[in-house]
Amino acid sequence: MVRKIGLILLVFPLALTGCWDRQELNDQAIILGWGMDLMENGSYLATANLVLPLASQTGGQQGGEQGGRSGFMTESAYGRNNRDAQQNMQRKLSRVLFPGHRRNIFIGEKLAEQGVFSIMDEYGRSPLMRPRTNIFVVREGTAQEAMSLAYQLETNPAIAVQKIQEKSGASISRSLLDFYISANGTGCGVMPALILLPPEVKLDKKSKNDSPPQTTLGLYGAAVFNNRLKLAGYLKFDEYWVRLWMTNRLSQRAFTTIVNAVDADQPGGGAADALSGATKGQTVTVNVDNFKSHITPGFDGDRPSFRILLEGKGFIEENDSPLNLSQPGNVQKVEDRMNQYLEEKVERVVAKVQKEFKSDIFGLGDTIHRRHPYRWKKLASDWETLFPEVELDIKVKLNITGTGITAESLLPTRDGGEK
Amino acid sequence: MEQQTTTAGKQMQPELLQPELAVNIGRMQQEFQNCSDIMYRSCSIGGVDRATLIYVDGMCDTRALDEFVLRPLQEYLRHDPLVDEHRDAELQGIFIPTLKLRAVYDAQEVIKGVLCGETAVLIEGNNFALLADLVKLEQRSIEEPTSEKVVRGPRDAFMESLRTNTTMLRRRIRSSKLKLESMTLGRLTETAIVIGYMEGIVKDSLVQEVKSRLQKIDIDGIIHSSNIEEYIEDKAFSPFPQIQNTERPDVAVSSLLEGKVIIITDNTPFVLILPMTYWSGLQAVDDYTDRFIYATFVRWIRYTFVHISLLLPSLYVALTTYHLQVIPTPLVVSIASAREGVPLPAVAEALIMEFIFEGLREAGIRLPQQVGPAVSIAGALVIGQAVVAAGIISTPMVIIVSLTGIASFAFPLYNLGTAYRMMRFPLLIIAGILGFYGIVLFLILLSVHMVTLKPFGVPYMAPYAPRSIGNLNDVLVRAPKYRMRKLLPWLTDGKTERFPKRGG
Repeated sequence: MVRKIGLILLVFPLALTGCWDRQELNDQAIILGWGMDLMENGSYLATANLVLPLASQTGGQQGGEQGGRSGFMTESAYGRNNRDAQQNMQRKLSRVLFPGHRRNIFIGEKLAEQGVFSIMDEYGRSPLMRPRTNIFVVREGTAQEAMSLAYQLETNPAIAVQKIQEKSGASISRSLLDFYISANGTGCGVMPALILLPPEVKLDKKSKNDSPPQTTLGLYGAAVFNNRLKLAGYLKFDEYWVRLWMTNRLSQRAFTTIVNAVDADQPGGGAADALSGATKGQTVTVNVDNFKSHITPGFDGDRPSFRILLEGKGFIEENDSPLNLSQPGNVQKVEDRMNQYLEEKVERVVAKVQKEFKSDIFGLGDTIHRRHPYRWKKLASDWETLFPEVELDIKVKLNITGTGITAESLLPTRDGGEK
Repeated sequence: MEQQTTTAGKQMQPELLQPELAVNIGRMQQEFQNCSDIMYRSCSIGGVDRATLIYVDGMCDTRALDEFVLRPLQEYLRHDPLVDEHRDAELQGIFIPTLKLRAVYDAQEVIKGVLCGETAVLIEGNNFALLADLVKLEQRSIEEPTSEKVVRGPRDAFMESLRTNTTMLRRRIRSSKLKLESMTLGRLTETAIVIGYMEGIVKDSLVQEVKSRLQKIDIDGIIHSSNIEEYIEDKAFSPFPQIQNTERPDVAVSSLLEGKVIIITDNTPFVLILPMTYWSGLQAVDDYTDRFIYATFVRWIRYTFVHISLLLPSLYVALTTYHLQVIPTPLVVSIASAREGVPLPAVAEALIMEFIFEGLREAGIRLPQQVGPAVSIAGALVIGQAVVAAGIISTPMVIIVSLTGIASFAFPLYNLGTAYRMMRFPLLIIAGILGFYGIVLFLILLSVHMVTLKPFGVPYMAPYAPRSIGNLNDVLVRAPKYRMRKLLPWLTDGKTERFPKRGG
C-alpha cells in the first residue's frame, strides 16, 4: 500500500510539468520574416511577414478560388524594441504571433547606419530563435519596402531572399549566427545586403499576358559593420565572394576574365605575353567549385603580416577567345591569366576593406588568435588600428581540371586563331 | 450437480460393474438420462439379451463397429453356451487383433470412455466392459492458415483435431526427443491437451513450471486455447502477449527446436508457444524463407512500421500543437493551409479519426460476406473523402491515420499488433496534454514495463535487453541459417549451440 501511494506520488509531479503552451496551428500567425526600421523620431518600426494559410493552399477544392490572393501579408507596428513592437503588433492580429519560423530578419539602412547593437539581442535570446536565421540589410531602403514587394517565383519574399542567398555562392545560410560569431571574434560583422532592383530596361506591357521584368528584390552584396556594429559600407556582389573565399564559405562561383588574342599566335608563350597588351581581348569563364583558403599569420617584430593562399578547382565553361583548348599549354595559359586576374581582384577588395571599412571581416585576427593566442592577447585591443596597416601576401592558385565537353571549339575558324 | 463435481474432482473410489447385464445397463441408462445421442445396441441370442454395445452416435465408426465388433461377438455368443464367467483375455481373443480393446471394471471409466467416443461392450455374466477404440470424429480437411499467410512456405495449418495436430508435428520432427505429454483440463469439458517439448534442448524446470501451472487450472471448461493462455500468463494485466500463438506447424516446430514448450489444445486450431519473447512476435515466417538480405531489409521496414503504428498520430499532434518550430518551414505552411477552417483541435481530430478507423476495422472483421463491399465503400468515402471535403478533418490527418492503420497490420503476430493499437489512444491523449514531454514519458514507462516482463523466467526483451550478442543475428538482422547457431541462454541449460559450425 505504501509502495502504491509512493508510486502515485512519484507519477503526479511528472504530469505537473510539461508544455502547457498548447497552441493550435490555426491560432498562430507564423512569422516568416521580421523587419526593423529606425524612424525619424527614434522609435523602431517593426514589420512582420506572415503566412496566409488559405492562400498558400495549392490543389484541393478551394485552390481555384484563392488564386488571386497573394501568399503572405505584412503587418507593422511601432515599438521601443523588438518585443515591444511585437506586442503592439499583436493588437492588430487575431492570431498569436509565432516567431519559431522566423528565418529572415531585415534591417533598414538607417538602422544599420545608426548601429544594430540595440536590437540584436532578442534574436539570440528568444527560445524560439532558429540558429539558421538570415539577417539582411536593405540598401538604400527600409525593411518594410523590401518586405512588401511580392516576389514572383516564390509565394513569399522572405523565403525568396533566403533562397537567393543560398544560390549565390554561400551554401549555408545562417548569417545571423555568423554575425554573432564574428562580432565576438574580431569585433566587426558582415551581413548580406539586399536592394530593390528595377529592371535593367523598362518594357511596357503590350497585352494582358505579357510578363516583362519587374522591380524585384535582389542581392546587392554585403554590408560591413565596424567594431561599434555600425554600418561601415558595402561590398558589391562581385566583391563579396572575396570574403566568402577567404573564410572558406564560398561553394561555387564562375569567374570571367579577358584573355589576349596574342596568346593564340605564340604557342608556348608565358603568362606575361597573355597580359602584355590586353587591348583586343576575348573572355574565358571558369567555373570554380572547390575552394580552399590558407591564411598563415607571421610576425615581423611585433607587426603581424599574413600569407594568404587561395586555392580552387574548376573547369572552363565558356571560351570566347581564340585559344585552342585541346592543347594543354593553352589551358595552362588560361589558368595563369585567371590567377593573375583573381589576385588583383582580391588585393583590390582587401585594400578597400582595410582602408575604407577598417573592419577585419576576413577573420585574419582569428587566425592569430588560433596560432598565437598569447600574442593575440596583446594585439586584440588594438586590432582595429592595426588591421588597416597589416601587410598581406596574397596568392591565388586555380586548378583547371577540365574544359567542358569539348576541347576545341565547335566553331570552325577563329579570328586570329589556329586552323 | 453434486455428482458432477465429484467426478471431476480427485480420484474417487471405483464403482465396480456387476456381472448382471441388466444392472449394468440400468446404471448406464441412469447416467445417460436425456442424452439422445447415446446409442444402445443389444445383441440377443434366442430372445435373450446377451450383450449390449453403448456408444455416442456420430463419434463412432459404425461400419467398423458392425464388422469388427458386432459380427464376431454374435458368432461367439451363438456358439458359446451360457457361461457365468468369462475371462476378459479369452473374450478379447474373439476380435481381430488390430482392434484396440481394453477391459474396464469401473463404471465411471466406462462412462468416460463412452463420452470420449469409445464403444463399450457389456456382456451378460461379466463384471467388466470391453472398450473398443472405434473413434471416428467428423473433421474438416487440413487447410491453409488464414491469419498467418506466407508467400513461400508450407501451406498446412493446425486444425481442431488434436491428433491431426500432433501428427503434423511428428511428421516434421522424426525424433524420439519430441515429447508429447497429454493432460485433460476442464471439469466438464474434459478437454485433452498436449504439452510438447524437445528433450535435451528444453530446460527441465520450464517443463515442470508449465505442468504445474496447468495443473493448477480449475475451470469448468476450456473452450479455446486462449483460456489456458490467460490462466498461465505471468502478467495478465500487461497489454503485451506473453504467450505466442500460431496456427502454423512450422512455427511450432521451429519454436520447439529453440527450446520452447508448446501446448496443443483439442478443438482449437491455435497452438500456444511459450515463453514468448518480444522479438519472436516480430519475426514472420517469410523472414526465413526469403533471401536473408531482403529479409533483413523487410524486418527493418517492419520495425519502422511498429513505431509508426504507435507514435505517428501522437507525434503529429505534439508537433503541430506544441513544437511547431521543429517542422521544416515549407511543411508547416502546407499543414497550416490544410488545417485552415478545421473546427477541431488536432488532438480531437486524431482521436475521432482513430476511433472511426478502429470501428471500421472491427466491423470489417465480423462482416457477413454479402455486405462487405457496402461497409468498405462507406468507410472509404467517410474517411477519405467526405470528412475532408466537409472541412471537418484536415487532409494530413487522413494521411496520418491511414498510414497508422496500415502500419498496425504489419505485425506478424496479431495480438502484438492489438497491444500497440490500443496503446495509441492513451499516448495520443498524453501527447495532446503534454506534447513531446508526454510522449517521452510514456515511452520511458513503456520500456520499463517491457524490460520487467519475464514470462516463465525468460526476459521479454531478450536477446536485446538483457543483451546476448550471439543471438542478435536474428533480431537486428536475419543472418543466414548457418550463422544462427546459438540458442537463447535463458531457454536452455547447458546446450548453447544448435548445430556445429559450418566447415569445422
